[in-house]
Amino acid sequence: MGFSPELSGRENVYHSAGLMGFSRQAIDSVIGDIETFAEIGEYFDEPARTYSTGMQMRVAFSVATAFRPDILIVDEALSVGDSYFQHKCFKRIREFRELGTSLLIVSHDAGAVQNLCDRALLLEGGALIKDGDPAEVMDLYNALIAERENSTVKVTEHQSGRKQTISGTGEARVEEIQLLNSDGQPIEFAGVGESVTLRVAVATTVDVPRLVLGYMIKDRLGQPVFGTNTHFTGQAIELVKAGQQIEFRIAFPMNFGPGSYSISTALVSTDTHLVNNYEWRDLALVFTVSNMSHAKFIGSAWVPPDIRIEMS
Amino acid sequence: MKEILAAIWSYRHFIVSSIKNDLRARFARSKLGALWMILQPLAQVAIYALVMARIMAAKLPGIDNRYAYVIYLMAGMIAWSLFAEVVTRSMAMFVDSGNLMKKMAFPRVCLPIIIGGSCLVNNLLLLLTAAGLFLVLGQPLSLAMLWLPVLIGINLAFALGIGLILGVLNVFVRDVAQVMTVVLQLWFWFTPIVYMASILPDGLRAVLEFNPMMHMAVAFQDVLLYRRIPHDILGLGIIAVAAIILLLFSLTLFRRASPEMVDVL
Repeated sequence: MGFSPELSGRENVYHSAGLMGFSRQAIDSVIGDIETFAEIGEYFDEPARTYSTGMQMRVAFSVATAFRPDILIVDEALSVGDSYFQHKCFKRIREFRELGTSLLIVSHDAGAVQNLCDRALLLEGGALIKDGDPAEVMDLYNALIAERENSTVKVTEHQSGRKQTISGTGEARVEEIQLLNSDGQPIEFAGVGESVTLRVAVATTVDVPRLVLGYMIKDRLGQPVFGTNTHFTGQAIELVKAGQQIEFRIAFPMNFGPGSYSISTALVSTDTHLVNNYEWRDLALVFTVSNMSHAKFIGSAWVPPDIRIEMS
Repeated sequence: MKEILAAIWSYRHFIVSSIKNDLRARFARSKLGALWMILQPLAQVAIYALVMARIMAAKLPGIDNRYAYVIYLMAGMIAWSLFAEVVTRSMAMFVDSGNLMKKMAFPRVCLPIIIGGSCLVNNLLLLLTAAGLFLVLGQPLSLAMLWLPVLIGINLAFALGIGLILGVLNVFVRDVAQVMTVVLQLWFWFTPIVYMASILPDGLRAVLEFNPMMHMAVAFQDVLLYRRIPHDILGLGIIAVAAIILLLFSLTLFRRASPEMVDVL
């Protein structure tokens, strides 16, 4: 936005809003809101040269959104703010969206994109390579940042109708993945809090020096709910021979809220898929959680409450 | 043309606050602040007066004031400083506000107006100081000074016309600003501000007639020093017409080049 360093925040607000074409009276009517929203206290009347980048961004965002625009373009700017202010920004952006503002956001922040957007476009080298549902696009983005020579990215139609992205160099792959109930039966539906086991069968095609299995449970929007890997748990397997069959059994309580979830798996050599990405499989498994035995609750986590009430 | 005026009108608050900010930002944190706006040209006048007074004083017949040369200098400087400041600043204007032009949608025509306004305020302050100085030096004010708004108006329009054309060109060929710095220096010395046209040989004086700034400087000297109505009305009229043509041309050029300018910036 270009703040003049010698002018105070307030004067810069008048200048910037004037630049956007607002009259003095219109700015007068919102200057209080801007000051309150920016929350930089007495610094609002100090010269902008004394501001930190975060403070500048607070004022800039407050001015830019003081009047609800028809189209709001946010270009990576939110990454500057502290997380408290980011939340405020997202809240305001969401409010605008509900009131009919079109939002165009340019970001590398997967969370923000999935949170705010109905549609995502993935650009690479100046060309559009994917246009679609944010969750699908983020899966492809995730695969692409690990793309190497000999690596393939395959996008197929999953049986649920969503696009499934499988990428990697193929030294190891997931042969079978199942969700089992306590009787060892494969299930697609699970009750809240039920004990389940995730069974993942992996096979190698060549010798692999170090093998780590990672899995991530994502909600309907593709937001991660829980994920870990055998590197974090200290269970990486060293020196795996070609043709080896490995079975992972991961038992956990289904402490999720009701809804549809998917599991992505990753076969890698370290804690990230950016070094060696043998296979990354999105939507490897889709399951539904329903609340059959507990009191009604909302949210994606099941945190069993124990509510005691005392009246005197 | 109509939509340009409408845009200017709707951005009038922005223009006024930009001019204020511009003046404030320039002198922020200097002890003397806005005083520098007039101190600098005054210092220049003092230097020329110191160096040239002896040589030049004799060439101003018919003025009964020992400070006549200082007044002569001031008059020319008031004319020249507005012209030079407007041209220099409008030349750099688009390059300087490149970021703004790329990021914000606002009527671009505000930029030259802000510059014109800011320079005008400067010039008026200088004029006020000069008027005060004249009184101190024993030069009374006169009714002829009512011509000043007309002269300043023509001067400003002429400078903006040239400045805007150069400003647009400078975006595409940055050498323009460099060349113009030299040209402006030359132009200053080719205008009778420090000296009188009468000291030039006849041949050179004939060429001087083609310098519009000569007519402008002479008009200011007429009004401020000789306290009479500008005698060279024809010359002024020609500059006024030229200024209007230049302004119209520069606005057309500006509108045509605007989209490409943003790409180059």
